[in-house]
Amino acid sequence: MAAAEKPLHYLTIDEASKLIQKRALSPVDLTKAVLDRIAAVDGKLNAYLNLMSDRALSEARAAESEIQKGDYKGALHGIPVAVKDQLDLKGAPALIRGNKAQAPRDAAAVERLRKAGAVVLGKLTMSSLPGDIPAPKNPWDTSRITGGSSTGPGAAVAAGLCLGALGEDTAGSIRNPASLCGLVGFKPTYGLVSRRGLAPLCWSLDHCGPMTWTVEDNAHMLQAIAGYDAEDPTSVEGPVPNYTAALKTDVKGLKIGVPRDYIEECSARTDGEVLTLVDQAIEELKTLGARVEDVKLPALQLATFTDAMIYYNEQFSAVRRNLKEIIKNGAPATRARMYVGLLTSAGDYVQAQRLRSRLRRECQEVFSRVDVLALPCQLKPAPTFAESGPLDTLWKHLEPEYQAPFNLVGLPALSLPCGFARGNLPVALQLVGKPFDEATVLGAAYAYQQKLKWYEKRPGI
Amino acid sequence: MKKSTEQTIKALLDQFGLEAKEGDFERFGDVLDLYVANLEKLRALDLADEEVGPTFNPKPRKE
Repeated sequence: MAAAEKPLHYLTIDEASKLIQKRALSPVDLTKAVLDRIAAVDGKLNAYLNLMSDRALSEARAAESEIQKGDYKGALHGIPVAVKDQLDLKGAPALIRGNKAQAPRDAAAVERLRKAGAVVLGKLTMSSLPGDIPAPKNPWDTSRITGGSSTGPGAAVAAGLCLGALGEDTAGSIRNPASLCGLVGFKPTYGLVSRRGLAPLCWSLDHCGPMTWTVEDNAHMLQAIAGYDAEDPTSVEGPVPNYTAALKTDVKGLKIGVPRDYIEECSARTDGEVLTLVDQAIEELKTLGARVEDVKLPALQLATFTDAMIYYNEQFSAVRRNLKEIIKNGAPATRARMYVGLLTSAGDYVQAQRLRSRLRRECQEVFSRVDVLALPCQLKPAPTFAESGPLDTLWKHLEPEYQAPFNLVGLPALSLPCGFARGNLPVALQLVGKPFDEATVLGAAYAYQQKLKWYEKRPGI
Repeated sequence: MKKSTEQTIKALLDQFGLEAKEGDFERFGDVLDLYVANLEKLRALDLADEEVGPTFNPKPRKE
């Protein structure tokens, strides 16, 4: 469908920005349309925690005025976006931090979005928040979960309640909802996007990244938020390439590695339609000019568990002063993680870090021969709420799966829609790149996206 | 839940002057047993001379 025929809330960032740049679309009209959409639909989806409508409209008016004066800042100028609760938003509480105090300052990634001219609509919900906050529903089928922990961003982007969102990924929390809701979700290289102002779940595994409807939108958002930040001790200094320039419609000469043994290892737990659609996607990449070979990464076998073990133990270290309160009143999954923390010794944690080094070394060897890895991004399409339980994430992370291993090694990993399973449920391919080579991942994803055009189909909500 | 796992958690909670929430050992028994089984696999892994590396090193290691 051409941009002119779409409802404004379903414009992509790229489409809206082209209209805004040539003054064919007002940021105020766009923001109002998205706010109307939120008013109409979010009562059914529960994506927003804190909607800051007045402030967003004020920002949209400022953007419009700047653009009218000829001060156009780029692709995000006047674009309505939203952020996961885990990122600080000045003037809004961060519920994941366990208090209702308003944040005094925006997180670094939010600051950068604002600098690029984005209109920030508010905060989106996430898994594991204290209290009785309702879980977001999947816009493709509201009896189903969005996947977590970036639950709100998953629902909001899919349903047109914002044009893009910032999520956070510790063990798959961007890619999981992206794959279940049909978005492009990108966990960048560790150190590329500042974690300053991001409520920590696990210091060494947390990654902030964009969740969008298309690959080009993801490139636009990543461009705005990437880059060194002296206030984040793990931020890495280096040039930020032009991600949009990397978007091409073929992948001639691209070398793709498929960790076939590992996919086989996970196959008993992976839905058959997911495996078929991912195989078809890899075949499509071949027809676009890529060369595909199988690769071996033996350390993947315990990598999901190791990621979870490091995650839960860093979290245990961070909250152990509140152990009494958590054991007494914490959510079941949080209490279970505390017991896990108690069961793990310092020697175990060091052994986990050594496995991390082993996997990193294996990845470096494989990436001397291939440019990207391709594998599934999810075990199954979105389950229903009735099929889900409070310990699902814990169970998922105790056996091999596809997302968490790439948090462990900090590599860029992207969830890319690759079709629909029964019941119209989205399925995703995962592309993983070399450290700081987000451009190659985005380029391959874009070529595939432009061939198959899955983004043309939107949920019927 | 395996008796040894339950006893370990009880002893460690005792160091904090705490007790497990009633019913938690039954509620989390299977998942904690699987955690411990994975922990044992990790402990048994021969990682040779692998060191604890930095969180992420953007430069490939020189052999």
